[in-house]
Amino acid sequence: MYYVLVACSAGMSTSMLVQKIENEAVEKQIDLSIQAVSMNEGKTLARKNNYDLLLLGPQVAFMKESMVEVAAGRFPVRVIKQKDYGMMRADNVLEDILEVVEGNEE
Amino acid sequence: MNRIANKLAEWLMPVANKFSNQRHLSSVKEGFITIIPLVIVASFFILINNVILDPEDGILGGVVDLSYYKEIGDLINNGTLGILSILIAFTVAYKLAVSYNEDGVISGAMAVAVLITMLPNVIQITPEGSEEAVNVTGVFSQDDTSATGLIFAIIAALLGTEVFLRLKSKKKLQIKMPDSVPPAVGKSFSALIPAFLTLTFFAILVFLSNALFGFGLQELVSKLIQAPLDFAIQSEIGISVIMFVQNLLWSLGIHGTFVLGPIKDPSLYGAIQENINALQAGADIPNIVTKPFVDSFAMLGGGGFTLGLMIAILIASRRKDYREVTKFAFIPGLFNINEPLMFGLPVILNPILAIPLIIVPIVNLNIAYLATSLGLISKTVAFIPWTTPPVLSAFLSTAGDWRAAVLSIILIGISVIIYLPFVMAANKMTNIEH
Repeated sequence: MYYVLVACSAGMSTSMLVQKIENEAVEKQIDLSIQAVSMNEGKTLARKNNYDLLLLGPQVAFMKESMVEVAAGRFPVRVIKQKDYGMMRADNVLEDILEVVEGNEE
Repeated sequence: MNRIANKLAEWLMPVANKFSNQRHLSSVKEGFITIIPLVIVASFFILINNVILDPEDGILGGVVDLSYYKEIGDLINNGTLGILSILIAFTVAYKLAVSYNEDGVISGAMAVAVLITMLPNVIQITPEGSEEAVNVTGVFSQDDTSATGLIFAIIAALLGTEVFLRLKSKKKLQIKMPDSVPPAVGKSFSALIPAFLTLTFFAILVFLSNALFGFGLQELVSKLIQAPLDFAIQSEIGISVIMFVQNLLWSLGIHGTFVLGPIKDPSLYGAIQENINALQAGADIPNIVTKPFVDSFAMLGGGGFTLGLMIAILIASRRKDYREVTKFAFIPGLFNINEPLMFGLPVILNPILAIPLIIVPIVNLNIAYLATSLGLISKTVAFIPWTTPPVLSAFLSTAGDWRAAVLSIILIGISVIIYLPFVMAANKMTNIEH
């Protein structure tokens, strides 16, 4: 099971994307637990728990550095690609997630 | 042009980051977010009381006298907006303490104690049928505990928490309990001396202020800080500047609303709560610029008034990619969520669309301001969530003023007209993103 946390400012648009990713994962029979939260909640959760990956919406990309600090090397932090986010391309994002969590990232 | 935008974004990213991470600003923002549900509940009952039950203006007012039932809403108002400042003191202190990895509950309780310590302990009341005011002790005035005392409550919470936590971190000030004492008991004793010192400090401060100036710190803060701050943010120019910066940030791909929230929100939330209180009291509504005002007239479809952009694209765009994204982004856009549009088109880092993105909200905000100050539409008096769909948001936030709903339709029309030429210009752009 992979645990992925996705954060944007209020967790609104991110939750749309996350729902799509969940469906995509079920279809592809990938064991994935993915959750959309607000930035503030994300910070608290990331401090307490361990994840396989923390994803940020592109609109809060400017906070990546501080999230990397929170993660403190326990898990990677990535920003979702703008185009994939805008078009809600769950398949592409899922592919990127798997690349990171399975350690095949270039 | 694109290079300039990229450079600007590169330079603004760390600034935005610093800003969003500033501990005190974020605690204030989070403290407000925490109690929004209570404010919305209160707003709901005030709408019912004034729009439906009121014997004069209410929809049912002419039919049956239901004013008897207004008490339900009044009670809820006492429990929420009536003590808003106290609630805020707790939540802000709680969030600040948690950001230091400290116990939030004791810090929140301390902040409330500090705030009440600094409120006037004697209140002047003129009894009915009497000419002279009498001094009353042992009561709190809603002038101090409701929205009007917000800024003071925030300052009290931030200062109180800072002082308390600083003292608490000093090993020398902690009472050591023997090992046989349960840790939970020991923990509350470790806060004893810091709590003693914190409260004494603030009480002496108020005592001195009273002795020297003849009034408490609260009056000082409201004159020196709150009044100028509210004036800057709630004025037509002030809010226009904020909208400019907010949408400039958006055009660079930075969530402008999120970054600027901590600066503008306390004042804008305070403004709507003052309006709500005034409506409740049957007084003149004081403020034009409030949180729901900005949400209902300047951010339809999301930051940048992108509802107009979507309609303009559906009317005039010959680009297949634009039409596809818009169809897909339309439904979330109706709830003012526009990230799919911002990043899908994309609007961000798009030198052509950046211009209307910045202009449209400012133009519409000023039109709505003018319409309100001329009395063409009512002032906002209800707190609605920012995800309330356009037109409906204007109708609800003005307590059911249909003219406000019409105005928001007009504003959508204006936004379409401003966006149209830029959408047509985008038709001519070669599709570089693909």
